[in-house]
Amino acid sequence: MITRKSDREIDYMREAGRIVAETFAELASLIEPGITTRELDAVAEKYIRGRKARPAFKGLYGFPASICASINEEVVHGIPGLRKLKNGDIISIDIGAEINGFFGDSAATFPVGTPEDRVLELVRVTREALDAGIAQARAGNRLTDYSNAVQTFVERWGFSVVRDYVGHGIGSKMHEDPQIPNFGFPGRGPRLEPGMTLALEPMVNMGGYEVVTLADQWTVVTEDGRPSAHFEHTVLITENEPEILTRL
Amino acid sequence: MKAERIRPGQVVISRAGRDAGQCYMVLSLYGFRVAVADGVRRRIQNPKHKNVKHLRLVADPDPEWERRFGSGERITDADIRRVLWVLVEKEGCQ
Repeated sequence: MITRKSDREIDYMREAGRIVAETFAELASLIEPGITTRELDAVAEKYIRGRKARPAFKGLYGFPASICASINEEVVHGIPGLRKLKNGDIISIDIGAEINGFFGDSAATFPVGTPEDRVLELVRVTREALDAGIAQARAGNRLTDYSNAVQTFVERWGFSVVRDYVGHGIGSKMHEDPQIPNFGFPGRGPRLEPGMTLALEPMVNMGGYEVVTLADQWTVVTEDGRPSAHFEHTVLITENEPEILTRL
Repeated sequence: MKAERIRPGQVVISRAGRDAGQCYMVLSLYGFRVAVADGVRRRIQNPKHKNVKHLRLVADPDPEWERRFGSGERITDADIRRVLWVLVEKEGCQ
């Protein structure tokens, strides 16, 4: 069931979203060659807890850290560890926070140093694909109008959209209905209504769209080993323009 | 090192929860969860949400089904029932 949030619930989600966005701002300045993903995780957890919120991923279905940190060919759910970032890497960071029982969820991919031009293009296209999708996330549209906008944008640049993993509703639970594919035909799925809150998250691969899970049971990587980028925002459907709750 | 891969279009068996032993088709993965349906009690419009660790693959991936999910083709509950019905005897699905 897709829930529509009340004004008070939306205020809580705005607060959770703001904390997530501020956490990204904290991390952005630290991302440089030599830092480990575990250090980034510690900074994020400290910041979120300092804002009297809770890192939403920690312990969620057994996930061991506060952020997901996925480097290069890792698509999502990378576990922070002792791996150091190198010049030319890209790192996708996914952060969730909960406050007053409501959640915010966002992800972004950062270049480390100076990656190759095509890799930077992958990052830019993924970010812009999310923007193109969000522009379709308006009351009256169907869910897959978003999906189609993302896929069309991404494939125009010669990249591919991950099929296996999709976005999700969000609110008083981290993962709510509906599931939101980032590909497919337009004009299908439920009609969007004001008050719905959605975590829209295209994952875009430089090569093929196939992904596999590593033996740690969490880290999802591209099957062909080529890089992948991931952007996500928590978005509120309104009568007018969609409101991005996880952007400062 | 690659683990077994659970992906849309595959048939899985629940190994934890009240539905342990029940077979489903995977519809999508989101966050850390998996949306599954059996076409009867759990339909596409009302899928069951499972932790990926509480599922086990029961059949080899069918390229045709992977293609159908990958291309965004419409899948119906009847399609799912047809796939699962074949596996009831072969794989011991409930």
